[in-house]
Amino acid sequence: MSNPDSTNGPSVSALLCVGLFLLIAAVILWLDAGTLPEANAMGVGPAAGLRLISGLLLILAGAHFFAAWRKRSVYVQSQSGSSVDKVSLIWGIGGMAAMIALVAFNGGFILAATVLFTATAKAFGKRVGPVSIGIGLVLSLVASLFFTQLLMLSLPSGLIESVLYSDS
Amino acid sequence: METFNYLAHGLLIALEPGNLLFAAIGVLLGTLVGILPGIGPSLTVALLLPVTFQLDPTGSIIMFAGIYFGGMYGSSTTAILLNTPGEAASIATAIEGYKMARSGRGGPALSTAAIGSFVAGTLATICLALLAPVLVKIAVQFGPWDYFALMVLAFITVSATFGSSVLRGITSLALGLTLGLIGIDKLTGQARLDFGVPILLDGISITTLVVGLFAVGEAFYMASRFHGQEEKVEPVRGSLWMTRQDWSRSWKSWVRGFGLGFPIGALPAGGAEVPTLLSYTLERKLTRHPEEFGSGAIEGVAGPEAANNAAATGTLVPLLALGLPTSATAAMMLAGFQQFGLAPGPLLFVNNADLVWGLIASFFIGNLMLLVLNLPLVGLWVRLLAIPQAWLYSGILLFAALGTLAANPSWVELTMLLIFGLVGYAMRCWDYPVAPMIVGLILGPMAESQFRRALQISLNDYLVFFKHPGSAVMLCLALLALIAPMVFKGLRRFRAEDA
Repeated sequence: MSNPDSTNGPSVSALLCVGLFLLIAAVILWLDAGTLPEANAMGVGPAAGLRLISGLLLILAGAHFFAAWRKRSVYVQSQSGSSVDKVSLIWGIGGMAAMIALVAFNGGFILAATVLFTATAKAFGKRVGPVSIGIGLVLSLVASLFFTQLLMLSLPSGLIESVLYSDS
Repeated sequence: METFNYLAHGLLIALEPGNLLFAAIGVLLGTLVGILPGIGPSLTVALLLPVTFQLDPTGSIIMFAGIYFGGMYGSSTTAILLNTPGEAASIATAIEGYKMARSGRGGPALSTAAIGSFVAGTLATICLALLAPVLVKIAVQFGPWDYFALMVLAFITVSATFGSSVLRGITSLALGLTLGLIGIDKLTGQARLDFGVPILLDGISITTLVVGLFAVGEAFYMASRFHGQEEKVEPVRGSLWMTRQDWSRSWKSWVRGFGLGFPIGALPAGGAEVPTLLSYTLERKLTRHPEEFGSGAIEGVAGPEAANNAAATGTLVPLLALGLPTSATAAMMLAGFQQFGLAPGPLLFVNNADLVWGLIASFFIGNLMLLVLNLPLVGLWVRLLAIPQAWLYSGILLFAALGTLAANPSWVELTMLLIFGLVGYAMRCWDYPVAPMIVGLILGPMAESQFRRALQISLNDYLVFFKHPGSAVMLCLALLALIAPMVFKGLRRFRAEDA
């Protein structure tokens, strides 16, 4: 946690990124406000909030660009070897993405959650193998049983679920 | 006297076996998540919302409060034994606490933290019980302009006043406010920012946002910084008990910690970090053993821990009496109330007196449970820290996905979870505070409807907010709270350049 970046705040490129993001958000809000009908005689309509926040985002975008401009001189030295482990990060994000795809294409919760668990464990350095798949499967099974059978909440179902809960 | 009658009645409700059980589950779960890195009380409440949907509101909310207190307590254990504070509010505890543990005085450090939390929590609950009804009497007379001004004040204090950067705090708040605009407008029924996605018409679920920012973002962050080493737990050696000298050195610090923590928590100032750090500084100034600071002074643990717990209770004053959340966990508790169709605020004290006073009385019981349960269980808690990070974070992500899907079984909701996770990761990397965004999402729509109602009543007179003394004062305070940190920063920079 003694990363010098975190105490000095975001770097110039990060500030520019955030500023650009805020600018785009401000434009989207403003455009959306234009599609709403104007308010009736009394009070303000739903568009007022959008315009207000759009203005706030615009000011913040400007402030980010200003902060980036003021920081431009330290740009060169702040790039000293980032310690981000990109492979791990991709495993983490990939696990979530795989889970979304499985849920979207009727893979069911148990399969999707097991894949998520295994991929995340891989991101933290555990080999993809029987151990992590086993723990993930057991956890997802228990969670699924508890939620769908005991609490009567619905979870996305797929092949494993249809076999498990077929008689109920 | 009236208050004591209510409180006695509340105590009877809190002592019902079912509610006792909920309180016990809450404090144990809270301690557990406080100890485990990566999950905090707000995330736990978020994940439990779908589970408690069909349960009794009083019991569920008592459990949420227990999680809040338990989390505060649990994070002090890791701060002392591991030098890794589970929550930001325990950073001050870690400074002296870990030194004490290393020199074999971990037991007394844990004890003074636990007893200090109990003392401060109990005092704070008494103050809460006395203060909340007074605040309710004032709040009954509030007009929409007053509420709007109060919310603006809360926005500013939560995001700007105590953070490390005004710009980053306000940016986080603005993102939360933007998310709050998404969905069907409650007053006119028109859809805003839905982009043709049906799920967005219902608005952004606070559960998904909290889980995405805290669980997914944190897991990504830890994964990207993972280098294969595990932290070393400092074993608890020697006696748990405090000596007579420890007691005499601790009690004043507890009271002072309470004195700092409760008011700062009860003002819409948000967060428990500020009072804990203030308390640490104060104890360091006042101590008769200045030589021990830096090598394990018991005052440095007793004060911040008491401040921490008192501030946690303090944040419930604006939450219960005004419906104003000022921390991420308080925001989640508000979402918990809303799930049961309850709106915290003056009306809650009238319409759901049983629930309110049962909840307040349960704080006494929860604090007592924490004291009795946790010291003997320290060994068990410490063993939990031996869970390898890989299993821990994989499990957290699994439960994050589970909680999100249980609330809304759709892949679109999961996609939002991933997006918020990436946003949380970026915010973590670039040091943007997360709490303002959550408070913005839950309080933004409320502020908007008060704003519009005020303009409707005043026939489009924008000066209405300055014509009523209450709202005018609060808006001026908000402006002051926004400008003050910038001025102080400028002064500091000016001096630094001067020197």
